[in-house]
Amino acid sequence: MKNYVLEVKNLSTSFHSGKKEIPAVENLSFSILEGETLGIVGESGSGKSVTALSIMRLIPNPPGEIIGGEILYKDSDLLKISDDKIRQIRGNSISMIFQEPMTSLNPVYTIGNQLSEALILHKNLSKKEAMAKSLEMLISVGVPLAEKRLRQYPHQLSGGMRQRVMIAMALSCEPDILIADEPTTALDVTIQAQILNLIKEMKDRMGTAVLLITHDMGVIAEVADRVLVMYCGRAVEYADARTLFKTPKHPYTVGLLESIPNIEGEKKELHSIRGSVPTPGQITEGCRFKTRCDFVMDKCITLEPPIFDVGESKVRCWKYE
Amino acid sequence: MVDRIEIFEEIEPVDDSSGFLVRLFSNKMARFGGIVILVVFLCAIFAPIIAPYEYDAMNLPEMLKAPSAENIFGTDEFGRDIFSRIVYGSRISLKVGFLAVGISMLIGTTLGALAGFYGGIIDLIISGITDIAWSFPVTLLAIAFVAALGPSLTNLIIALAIVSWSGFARLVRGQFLSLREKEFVEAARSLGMSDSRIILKHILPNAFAPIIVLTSLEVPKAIIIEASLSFLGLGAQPPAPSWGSIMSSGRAYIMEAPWVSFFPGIMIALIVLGFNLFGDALRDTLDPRLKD
Repeated sequence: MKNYVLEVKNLSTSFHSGKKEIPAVENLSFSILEGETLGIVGESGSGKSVTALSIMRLIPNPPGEIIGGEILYKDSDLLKISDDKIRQIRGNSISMIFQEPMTSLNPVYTIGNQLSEALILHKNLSKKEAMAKSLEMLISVGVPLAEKRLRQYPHQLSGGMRQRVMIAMALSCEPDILIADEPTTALDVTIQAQILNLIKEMKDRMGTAVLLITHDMGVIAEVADRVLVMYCGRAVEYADARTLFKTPKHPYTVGLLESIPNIEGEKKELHSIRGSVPTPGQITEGCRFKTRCDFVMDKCITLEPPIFDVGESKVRCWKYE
Repeated sequence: MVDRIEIFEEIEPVDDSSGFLVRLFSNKMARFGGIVILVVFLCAIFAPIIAPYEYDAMNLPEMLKAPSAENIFGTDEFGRDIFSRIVYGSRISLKVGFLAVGISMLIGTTLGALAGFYGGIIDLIISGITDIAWSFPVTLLAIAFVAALGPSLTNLIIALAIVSWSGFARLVRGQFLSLREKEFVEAARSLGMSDSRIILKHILPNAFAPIIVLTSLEVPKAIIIEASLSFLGLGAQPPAPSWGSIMSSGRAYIMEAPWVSFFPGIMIALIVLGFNLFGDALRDTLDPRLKD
């Protein structure tokens, strides 16, 4: 039986805009098992990135604020520990890679300098040891001519290479959890596949649990063990990847899967979910998906559905009451 | 520990690190400015060797002598050799220029960094003070400070530092405002770095280029203000050979002995021009948008 490495319970994060409070994530609960890959999928503005930043406690405050919930990591609640403690966890036990590899590296330092910085900070290595470990990490993420790259500056590397460096940096302290926030969105398709393979491979090799955030169902299918589908700051479906793709339950998930273009069979018009994502705070009662749902019932308009257990899935929809 | 992963890219890394100094000095103006600055620096360092006389060696029978082989820039009303006084005077100009600008850079950079990084109420307070300081004419404010502190070179440096930091504060604040939103700052946070480390190690080095350029343009301003205030008797006190005070002492004899004021004036103009040309060239070279 595997243990949970991270448990998020009833997380709520809001942003203040003037006097209004706009919820970005509401009552979100999920957990990550040791060594598994949990995919969070959703459209822009569904609260995926806010969830990741909340776990790292990197929500810019003001205007953002985590207003409730618990994030349990190794018997402690990340939302309650001191700033010093969370800094020791960031980059060391939980680390993160970002969407934009082109700008995630500091242009004035060499690759080696940046890679070794976290090692010196968290593992108390000497400069020399840190450089040696950095080189080892660069080689393990498949950067060619690693010794030379170590002395180069970010602008001398391509996007794919930089993302590899970011992965090496995030994994250099051997964290328990790697949060990857759209790690492949800014890369072209062939490099995307390489980076996904790399994340998968590094995860297997180091036993790191991965929280993969994406809007791309294809990416989820490729690497995720379990999937959390988010809509408007809420979990709408939560299931293992196989179940989700085989028998999607929530109308939103069904819509998302139908919207994937099929390269086989007849050409037909691409399915799309009607309407567009409501702005956060626009819908305040009832099911958040009611404006776009094909199966909307009277109940959906006024009452927000709780999460129902349907087989192995958890679904937030009145259809499964 | 691990095997190398098969990958497609095997591009030979390009090396374009060389060339900054080459690019800088391929500019004629930068060469001229650089040489002027270098010469003045050498004068300041080797003054006792270069100067044929002591700067305060009086020789009354030889007063107000026109330039000649013994006194190539002539002598002043006490028979002191003007060339020697100018050579020693370069020490004062450079000292005031660099110390005053150095201190104002430290004050301005610190305040600007705090304002830009933290924003909010801190920014409001610091920006308010900066704008007030910015709104005063620098020379006038410096005169007021020196008048309050008493005329001396040290007080002049302090006054210059107090009145000229606002330019640095504004520049650095602006740089920090844009740099703090960069993803590498968020990445540094996600690696567990403290605010002070992010400010000093990750953001500040990215703002170095404009700070250096501003410094090279502020130094000549400080030199001019030093000369003006010394001319008015508010800076270096006699017999210290400040270029400004030499000019001022020559004022009384401008008709019969114009060389007393002429040579220090030329030197002030030259050094200021040198720094300005060098600073402009530095800015052009450091600005990537102007790179061809």
